[in-house]
Amino acid sequence: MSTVVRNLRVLRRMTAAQIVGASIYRGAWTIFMVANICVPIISLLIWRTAIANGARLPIDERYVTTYFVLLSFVTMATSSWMTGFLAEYIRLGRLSSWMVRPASVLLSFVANNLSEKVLKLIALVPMIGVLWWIFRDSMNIPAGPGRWTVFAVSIVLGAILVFTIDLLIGSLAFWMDDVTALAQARLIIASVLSGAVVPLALMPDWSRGFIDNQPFRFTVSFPVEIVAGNLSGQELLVGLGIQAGYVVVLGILARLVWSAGLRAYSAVGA
Amino acid sequence: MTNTFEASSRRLPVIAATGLTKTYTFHKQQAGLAGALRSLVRRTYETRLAVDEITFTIDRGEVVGLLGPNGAGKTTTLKLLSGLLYVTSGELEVLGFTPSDRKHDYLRRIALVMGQKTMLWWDVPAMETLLLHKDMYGLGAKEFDRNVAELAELLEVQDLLNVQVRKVSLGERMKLELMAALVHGPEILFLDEPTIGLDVVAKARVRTFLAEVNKLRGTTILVTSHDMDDIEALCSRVMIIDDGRLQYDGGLDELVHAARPRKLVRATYASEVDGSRLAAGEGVTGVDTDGLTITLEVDRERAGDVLGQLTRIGPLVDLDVADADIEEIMRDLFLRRGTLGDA
Amino acid sequence: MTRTMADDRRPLDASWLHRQRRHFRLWRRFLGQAVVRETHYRAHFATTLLVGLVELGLGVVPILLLFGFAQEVQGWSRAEVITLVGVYQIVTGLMAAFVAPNLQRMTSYITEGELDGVLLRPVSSQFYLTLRWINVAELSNVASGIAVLVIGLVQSGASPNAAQVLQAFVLAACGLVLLATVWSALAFLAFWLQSVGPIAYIYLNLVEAGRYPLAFFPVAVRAFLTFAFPVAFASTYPAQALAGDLGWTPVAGGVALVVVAVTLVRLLWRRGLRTYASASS
Repeated sequence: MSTVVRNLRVLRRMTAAQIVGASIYRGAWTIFMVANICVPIISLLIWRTAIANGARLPIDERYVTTYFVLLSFVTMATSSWMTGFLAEYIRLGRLSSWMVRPASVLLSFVANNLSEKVLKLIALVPMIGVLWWIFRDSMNIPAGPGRWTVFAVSIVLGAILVFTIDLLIGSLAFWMDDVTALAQARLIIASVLSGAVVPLALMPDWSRGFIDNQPFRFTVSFPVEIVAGNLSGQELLVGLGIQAGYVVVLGILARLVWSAGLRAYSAVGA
Repeated sequence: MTNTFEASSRRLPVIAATGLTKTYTFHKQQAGLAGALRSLVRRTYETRLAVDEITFTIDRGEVVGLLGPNGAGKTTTLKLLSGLLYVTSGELEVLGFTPSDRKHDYLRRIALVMGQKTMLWWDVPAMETLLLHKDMYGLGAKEFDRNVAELAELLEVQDLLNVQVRKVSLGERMKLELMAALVHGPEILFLDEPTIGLDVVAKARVRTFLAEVNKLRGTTILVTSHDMDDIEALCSRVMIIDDGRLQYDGGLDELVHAARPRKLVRATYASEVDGSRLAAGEGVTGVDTDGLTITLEVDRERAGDVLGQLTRIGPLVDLDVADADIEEIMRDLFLRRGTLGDA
Repeated sequence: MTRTMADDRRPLDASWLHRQRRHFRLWRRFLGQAVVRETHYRAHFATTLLVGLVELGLGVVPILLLFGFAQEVQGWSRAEVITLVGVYQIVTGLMAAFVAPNLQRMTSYITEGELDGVLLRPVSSQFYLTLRWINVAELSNVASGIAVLVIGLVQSGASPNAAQVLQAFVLAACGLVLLATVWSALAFLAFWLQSVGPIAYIYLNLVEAGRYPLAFFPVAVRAFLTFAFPVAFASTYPAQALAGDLGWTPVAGGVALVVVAVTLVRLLWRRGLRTYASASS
């Protein structure tokens, strides 16, 4: 049996088990999702008021509305929360018990990510649906399944990208005592640069070149733009290309850092 | 404090319970969100009787042991007495107060120590907790200093007061716990498993200290414990609670006597012997022959005869006679539930 | 029934006033110990300070961007909104320092039985549970809030008179108490729900609405943010008072709302305690 197939089987089993385990907390997940959707709704109302008051934004009301309605879904679908846990595994030496198994510890993190995400999205989708219905008159809905497919692909790439960044920062715990400050800094930076706070289209002109090409745009904003915005076919292709490029580059980097870390870990022991 | 204790003692008890009863009502909730919503509309209630019509009084300065198997109602009784739980029916008065009113003037006169739960602030020295209690219980500076000095000396913890609590050993922590519970000079001390998890030396220290506090300050102590040594060392009176009911209330000696404890005999021989004939003897039980060793239990009155028999049946190397363990007695009692009523 | 007796002692508090004084002295001890503790964890202080500053800056980003596209929104200028953010920062900073660390512990108080240890003390349990733990480092956010407030006032050229400052102060105090009662009410749900961690998270996200003037929201949402989740008193109303656009009526309304809210929370607490004392084992 090839390693890939075996790993996929392990992953499937672990994910299924984790879904069963985590579904005990579905009440808590639901409340978490209600909380998560609060800030996008606040932003949505603020920007609609600004437009109604004659603020001359580079984007119209339909863009703003669609953007914020979809935002919490995409943010959740691409999110990852393993930095802290991974750092703890490394620091407290719990990694050792995983290193004797024929499956990478990362597999368990992927399983955890997938299972919790499934449950959280199940809780989130009805809420998005209600929002969509309330604002149905000012939502951009792309015609045809083409855009939706690209949207889905872009979300998957975004999710891999976020996971990879998480892995990179968590791996630093092989060499650093405390990565929590770093992880927190990254979260704060990411919230602005990913478009989770304000649509990147509203960023000032002087920052355009940087804003449009930095990696965080491709973790949240870009997938949302595919549905909400008016990206041309060419912009779409270029965007997907850059996104895939970041996934490959950061993926290789994370892989190198991770194996270097594991070597350092085995050498010293913990 | 000690003066008033001498002068006014013995006229009235400090704890009086009449027909004290506690039932828990809890609604059964179905699992999940749907179940939770359903139970908002229609609830199914279940009740459990935890304490069933208990009547007793405790006098000032008594040290009373509260015994019983797990889930018998000991902790519930302590919580009722300390005001953490409402009484379902019956009457309860402690120090002239109704505990569940939780009047501040009542709470300042009692203390509760639970062996499994710490009341100390974990990552600062114990002194900080003591200072908190100084303000909480409105203690004057002089009174506070005197109490701290006295307790620290009795417990030999002078050096530990300024060490982070997390850094001291379990035994030392229990001492600090007791100190924090006593610094406001309570008249009644409720103890729930105070020696749980401690080693033999630490247990002995705690017992000695409690006995001393009782003697010096006249503090009334009500203690639950699984450790019979605790009870034997501290309590002149025990109350046995089983299944929520008070099964026995009286002296420890009478309890032991009432249970008519038997002798445990263990005889070792140089060569293999046949002990089967012994089993036929009157008042002999639990005969067990294991190669060179015979163990058995025998009634106190018949012990002499049986020992004689044992010396005759083979070349005796070693003979060991012991009183039945008090824990055995307890186990025995709970098995023969109810027979104790007329003891 | 059988009577019992106790030692003669002076009552713990001779009067209501003594009782308040004893509680205040106790609170001062909480504060003193928290300060001492903070000095042992200087890294924690630095991190909190830094994170607070970054979050403050981040919170201002949407407002700065917004006013890049418009001079005025619903009658609010940029400088006035910055004043408002300052007030918001001060009130939420005080919440984070004095109230939040306690209510985050409600779940463990109730599920792990730590509440028993509190109920045994001769102090108001609600006082103890709401104010026992203090996170001194969060006060740095109050300081930065004051700085932002001053910047906003200078930029808007507002010169509030003493009465207006008093109005703003009373309104902000009402806002603080109201937010604390709302959060307490949510936290006290732990008596029935056992776990309230996620509920605190809802609070933290909803309170973000306070970063913007009430006028920026649709009418229904304004009513919600004034009466149900009264974050308006923690930002919009004090800022308006400082700008001089407010009379004494909202101040009276705020005080009245505080009385109602505190009474309701007190009732909820009593009910919860009753549930706890008859259900716990």
